[in-house]
Amino acid sequence: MRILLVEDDELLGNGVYTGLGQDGYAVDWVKDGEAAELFLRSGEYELVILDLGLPKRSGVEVLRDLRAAGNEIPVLILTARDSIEDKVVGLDSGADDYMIKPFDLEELNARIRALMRRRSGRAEATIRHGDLVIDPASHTVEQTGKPVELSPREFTLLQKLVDNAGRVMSRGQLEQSLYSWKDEVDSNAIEVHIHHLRKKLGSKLIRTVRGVGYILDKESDEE
Amino acid sequence: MNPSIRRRLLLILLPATLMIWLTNAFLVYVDTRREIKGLADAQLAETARALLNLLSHEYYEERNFRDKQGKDKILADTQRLPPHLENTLQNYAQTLIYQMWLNDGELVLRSESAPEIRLSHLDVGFSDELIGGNEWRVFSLIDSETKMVVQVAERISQLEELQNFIAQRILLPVLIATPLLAWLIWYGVGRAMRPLDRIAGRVSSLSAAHLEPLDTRGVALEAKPLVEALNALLRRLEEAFESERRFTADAAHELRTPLAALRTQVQVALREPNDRKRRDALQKVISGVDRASHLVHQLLVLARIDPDNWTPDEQSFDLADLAAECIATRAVEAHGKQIDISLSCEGEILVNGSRDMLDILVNNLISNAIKYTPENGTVEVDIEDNAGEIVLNIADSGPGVPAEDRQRIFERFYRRERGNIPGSGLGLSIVQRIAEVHSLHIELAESPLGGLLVRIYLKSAKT
Repeated sequence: MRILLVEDDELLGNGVYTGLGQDGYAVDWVKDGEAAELFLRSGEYELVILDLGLPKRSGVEVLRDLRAAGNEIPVLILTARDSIEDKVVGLDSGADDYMIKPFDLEELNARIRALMRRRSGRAEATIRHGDLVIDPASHTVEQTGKPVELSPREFTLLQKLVDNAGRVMSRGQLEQSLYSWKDEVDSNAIEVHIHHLRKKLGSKLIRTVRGVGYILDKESDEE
Repeated sequence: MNPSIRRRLLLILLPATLMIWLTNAFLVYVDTRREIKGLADAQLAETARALLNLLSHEYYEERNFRDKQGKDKILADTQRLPPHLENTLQNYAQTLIYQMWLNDGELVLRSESAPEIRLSHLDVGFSDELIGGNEWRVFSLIDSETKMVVQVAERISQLEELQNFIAQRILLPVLIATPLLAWLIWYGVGRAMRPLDRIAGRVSSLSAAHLEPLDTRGVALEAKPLVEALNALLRRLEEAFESERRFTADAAHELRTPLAALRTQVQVALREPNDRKRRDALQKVISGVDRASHLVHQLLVLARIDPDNWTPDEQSFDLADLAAECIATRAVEAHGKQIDISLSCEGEILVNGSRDMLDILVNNLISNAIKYTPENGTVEVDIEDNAGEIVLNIADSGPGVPAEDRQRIFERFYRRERGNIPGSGLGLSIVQRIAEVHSLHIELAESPLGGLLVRIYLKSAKT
């Protein structure tokens, strides 16, 4: 899953960037409001983590323009301002959630998951697909009740495919959700991950649509 | 014991009023005494004249009876004085005496208590005599035809009694009124002071959170300057509290970001299985702690030079020497970025101020210039001496500050390029604070090197 982090503080930005990377998110990090708008225009992100006190354009300005342009991407605000008015302004400008510095990385993660869940219309915290139970919070996957070890990238890839079950995902789409623009991606990286997933979860789960991409069949189709 | 206005007014007003009253009483007494004496004398003379008229007339009518028994007869006649005179004389029996002498020195008539020797040797007029151990006021009158002499005397002690009585009558009200007056002053002053009590009541109901100015309507004219001064003080306090509150809030917010950074970096380090990456994260924790410490240090410096409670320990020192020192401490930093830093000035330049404070000021400005100047740039420091006006110029070849942002850069925590250049956002606020307490003027302009030029106008120590 690809996230845009907008944070002007070098150290904090680096921390969040690295931390989210550890959890398998593909994160792009920009340090001012203008860059944020530029990156958002590409439309490749599924979530934005936005600091409010930014140089050039403030977070609230970026957020308002984003919503005015009809973009409904989930936005989580990070800010040092904790007054009720600040929160109201942030939420009224179109933010989906709000975190006050200093915050816990785990909590940030949980909120990101909650936002994604809400966006895909799920109420449950775990995702079920056939004999798979995927828990985005603990990054664990169980198959017929037995835990399966997955690397963060493999997990993200699996989640992306499950979220879009029944749809063919192109290699490009999958790469986008797995890697930030900074990462150097091997041309066969997705194939390697798919190969590992098939080895761990069985070869029937993910089908290859030659020349197009990969698809995970919908549950109803299997039954 | 604190001085009391009430007690002081009492101690002034009471003796003053008493003194006026007593002086007045004394003058009235002296006047009255003179009047009484005059009246008594007049009465004495009147009595004498009446007696003389009456007796000399009787004497002529009865002179034919004058024989060898005549003396006794006349003496007996004193029992038959006219009733109005008899009464008057009777009233004063003990205090008024009289005698009547013939021109040959014979005592023809006297009151019962009068002695048989002449009361006064005078024939006419007043005299004070000592008779029978008592002092008497005597009036003598002679009949011009018969040469008969009448002498009437009144006891002086009788007059004195009257005078004493009058003196008492004058003094008594004073004595009664004095405690009353004391109470009136005490009570009146207390009442007059009541507006002060009310003001005190209102002031004591104020708290740091509610520093509303006092209402000046209905305040006594005398108390108004006090209330207005208090209001001015309250306004200053309110402003000071407000700026304190703002500062604390700003400082807390500014500390939140480094704290958040520390927390995330520590969490990243905790979860990182890779040793090298974990060490990277921990290294970042250290730099985060350094940054937070720097911020705290800057906050403390700023708090210490609060213009309201700090007076510069004025001394004269060499500004050129100070600038050279500051450049020397920053030289490593500058050379690290290949920045050409230089100082130009001629000889010793003495200025007045606190050397320690101005050291922080110059240091912050030079540090800023180096920080914002890109590699291979230039920082030039020079000191002008324009006939007593010293100008310290710090110019850099950095990006400069557009005119519209020049005032904002002195604001606390304002940083134009936050992301790229580390800093607390307090350095220039500290510079401004120091300039404020020294009443120095700071000017920002575009430097000939393309970046920012900071000009500081200082007071020369040579005047």
